[in-house]
Amino acid sequence: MRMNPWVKAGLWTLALGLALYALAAVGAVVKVALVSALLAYLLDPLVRRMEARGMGRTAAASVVFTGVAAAVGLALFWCLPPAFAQMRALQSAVTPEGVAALIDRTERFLQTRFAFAGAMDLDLSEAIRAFVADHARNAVTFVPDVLAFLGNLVLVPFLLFFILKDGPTLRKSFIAWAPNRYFEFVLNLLHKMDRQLGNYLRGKLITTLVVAALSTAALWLLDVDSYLILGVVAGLANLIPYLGPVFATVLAVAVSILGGAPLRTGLAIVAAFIVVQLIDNLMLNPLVVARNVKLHPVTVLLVVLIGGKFFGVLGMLLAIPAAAILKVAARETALSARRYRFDGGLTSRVRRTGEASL
Amino acid sequence: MRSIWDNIFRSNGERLATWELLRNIPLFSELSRKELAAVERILYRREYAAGEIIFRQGEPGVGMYLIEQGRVAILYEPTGRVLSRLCDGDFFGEIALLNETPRSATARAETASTLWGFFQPELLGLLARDPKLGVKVLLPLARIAGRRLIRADRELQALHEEVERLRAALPGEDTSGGEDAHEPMG
Repeated sequence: MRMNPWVKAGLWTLALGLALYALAAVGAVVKVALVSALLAYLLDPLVRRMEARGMGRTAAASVVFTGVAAAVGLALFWCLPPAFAQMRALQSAVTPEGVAALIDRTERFLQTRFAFAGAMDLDLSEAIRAFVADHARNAVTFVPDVLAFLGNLVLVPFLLFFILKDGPTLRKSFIAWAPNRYFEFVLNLLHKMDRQLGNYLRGKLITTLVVAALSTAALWLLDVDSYLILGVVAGLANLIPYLGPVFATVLAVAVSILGGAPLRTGLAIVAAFIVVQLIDNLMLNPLVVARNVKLHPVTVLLVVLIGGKFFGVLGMLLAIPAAAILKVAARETALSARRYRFDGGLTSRVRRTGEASL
Repeated sequence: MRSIWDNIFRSNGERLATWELLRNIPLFSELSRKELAAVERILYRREYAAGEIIFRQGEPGVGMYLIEQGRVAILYEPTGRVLSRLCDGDFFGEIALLNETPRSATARAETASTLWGFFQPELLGLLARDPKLGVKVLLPLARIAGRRLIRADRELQALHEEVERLRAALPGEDTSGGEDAHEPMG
């Protein structure tokens, strides 16, 4: 039965609108599903490698899942208690008075050295005091976040395992939904996106983990009290080009000096973080082949800010893969849609491109 | 819409039947039941109405189609000349499976047809995951592609001889000038 195209378009719009409304209504669930899908996507090559050794998909997915779950579980088991202790120590060290004193000292230092540059009226203390007051309020809203986090600790692994196991089937049934006319286009588009995004996203994951581990080790060696928290922050901040590492360094130096460490330690932290940056830029980045997904540093900064505004810390983290996916999707759609004639009929003129084959 | 409901309500009994359907395609006749099941997982079963376009000349091609049942016409576009008619068990578009190239002709279902789509990403995935099975699928494909190449070569040779004969028959033709004869392929 053939439907009036306007009726059909109207029905599709209605369905799409309802789907979007439903997605917005269950935002938290969508976030959990997206995180699980992203993790499954990142882990997929490991499963495929085990399949190539003759293992079934379910067995391979189980092995990979168990391995990753054990690693993450051990890491949490070892790191969570000291991380909480460090968090409490940090809260008692970083008092508003201490911060104000440090800012005053910095301001005086800057004014005596850079008076010629016209840096007289920095008014740093006001700006930063307001910032600290804002974030003290955020710490209260952190408690329900912990409850949600514990819930996700159960949900994410559950979803992750099934998406990891049934990934190829899910992908196939998704493509199979496309109407005949758009079927090959959709299949090709997903394949191209996978090829370009896979390396980029996995590379980002690996560099983040390595930078976090190296920074944590360096801070631990330098006897900085909150080495775990500052090290993890350094790894995550590294996702933002240029600005992130500077922010992580300033934060680590400020916290260690507030904790009563000598200036010597501060300088050592700067030196250590410079070495970590050199390792990241000279040794890790060349391994991450991502010629096709270059995001401009300004774009990264903006999407991270937007992600944080709407979806909090998790939003900041998911903003970068989301931006990369959108960029590649938009570009590949535009590129290949031009090569398909979605409007033309059988009799329209054909432009022959290069050598052709059946 | 029908295909969605097909997917949801496909029972185990029907799933067994789809392997049997694959066995009727000569390309897969050598495969065991287990191998057929593995191949079925990477193929896309598509239903086309009579007159529906499967792909259009000039569009990017990423794979081939096998005909489970139905009749498919291969057309050369500006003229609409039918290059060939294919039916149950035949396949077409196989070069795009190995090389991503624009389609050199249009394929149209002449009757309501059921096709199996086999695409490059899935073939490369299969080769990485299960090289043994990958070779078992690729080898007969390469043989048939080779046979088609020999036939095309023979036709080209015949055409070439025909051109030479006609040129020789033309009165006062200077044949020393434009020598643009094609090298025979293969």
